[in-house]
Amino acid sequence: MSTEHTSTRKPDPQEFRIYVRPLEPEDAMVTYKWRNDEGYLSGVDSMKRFVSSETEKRWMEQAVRDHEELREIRFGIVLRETGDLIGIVHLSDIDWINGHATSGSLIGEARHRGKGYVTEARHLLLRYAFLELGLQCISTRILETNTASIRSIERFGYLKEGVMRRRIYKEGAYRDLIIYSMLREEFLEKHLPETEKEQP
Amino acid sequence: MSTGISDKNLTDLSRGFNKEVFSIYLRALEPGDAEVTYRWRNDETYRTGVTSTTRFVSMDTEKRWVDQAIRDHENLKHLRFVMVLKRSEEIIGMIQVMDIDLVNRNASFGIMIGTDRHRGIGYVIEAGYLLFEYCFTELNLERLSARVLEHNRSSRRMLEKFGLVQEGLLLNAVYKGGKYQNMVLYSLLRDRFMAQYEVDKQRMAKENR
Repeated sequence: MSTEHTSTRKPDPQEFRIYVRPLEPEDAMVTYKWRNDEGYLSGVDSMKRFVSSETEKRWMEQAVRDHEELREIRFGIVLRETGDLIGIVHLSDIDWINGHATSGSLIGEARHRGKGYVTEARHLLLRYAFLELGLQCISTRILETNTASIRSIERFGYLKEGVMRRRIYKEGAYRDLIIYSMLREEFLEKHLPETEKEQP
Repeated sequence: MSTGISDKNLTDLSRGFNKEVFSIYLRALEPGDAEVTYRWRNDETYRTGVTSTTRFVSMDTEKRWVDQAIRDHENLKHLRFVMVLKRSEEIIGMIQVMDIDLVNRNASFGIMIGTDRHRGIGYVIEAGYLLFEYCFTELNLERLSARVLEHNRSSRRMLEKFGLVQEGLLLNAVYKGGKYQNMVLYSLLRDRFMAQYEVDKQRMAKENR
């Protein structure tokens, strides 16, 4: 099934092709391999890095600890059919006072991109953010050149808030970042069935 | 570090670059690479070509140096890469960016090939191109510099072919092989590289279509 729904039908996590789970130290071996994919970093706003497996292991251990201490929420996206880790969704910069965090996602290999897996994972992440963590607003920043992500995030229901001009230097040029956000009630309205909306 | 290549059979730079067809790629250093870099140090040509002091290094020391290099890369202090042959996955040399100064957008770089049989084939040119691309299009640097022993003609010719400009002569800058030796300081500015890079990108898009 696809969650790229145009009707009023709400996505049902039971039917998702993926599930999410916390990261484990061993996942470093998989995420390390993703870094060899040229397309992997051209879409994201972080800088291109050449990473040793030692470094990747240390970063993964740090990510596990950050998750443990609720500094960041980081989930691995796992394909139900194969059990393979194919990507990551995360909440960063969690601001507990104001109830805000930024979301981000990535799919490791090109063959898994463009299939709507991120849409499913994002649904699970935001469900957790709004219904369990009690956040009010989730925002995300997307590189102006990443048209696939822009399409996906708009279809999901994030609203464009504005443009951070000339914020990222990448592939030899300065790029703008576009900020999108989604409020709690917008998510409930668009993504949850009536029966679930009444939750506090 | 600097190069010790001879100039036979160098890549014809007038044809420009298409990195899709390069024989090598760059990757970050791995702990296991110490076994290989340790062996390189016994190569005589390697010792005479590099600008650093000749050292006799134990395996234990080499391992610690590699571990330290991985940490330095992680913290963006010095970025060391190994050059890997695409066809055999063999590592043949190292290239690194040092003394990164993000305020002034300056850094220096050095290249070395581990063994003689990989010298003079143009691998250094490919590695240089990949490193320059990273430094100018991702790290947003303005200037890269390199220091080469004055007598190291092949390295100097390589740098000059690449468009690096000789900025000066550092008199008696290193003591090596029983005497003081001069070093030549070269630099490459962003605009010089980007002009070439833009031309390559357009032609590459055509060729790879």
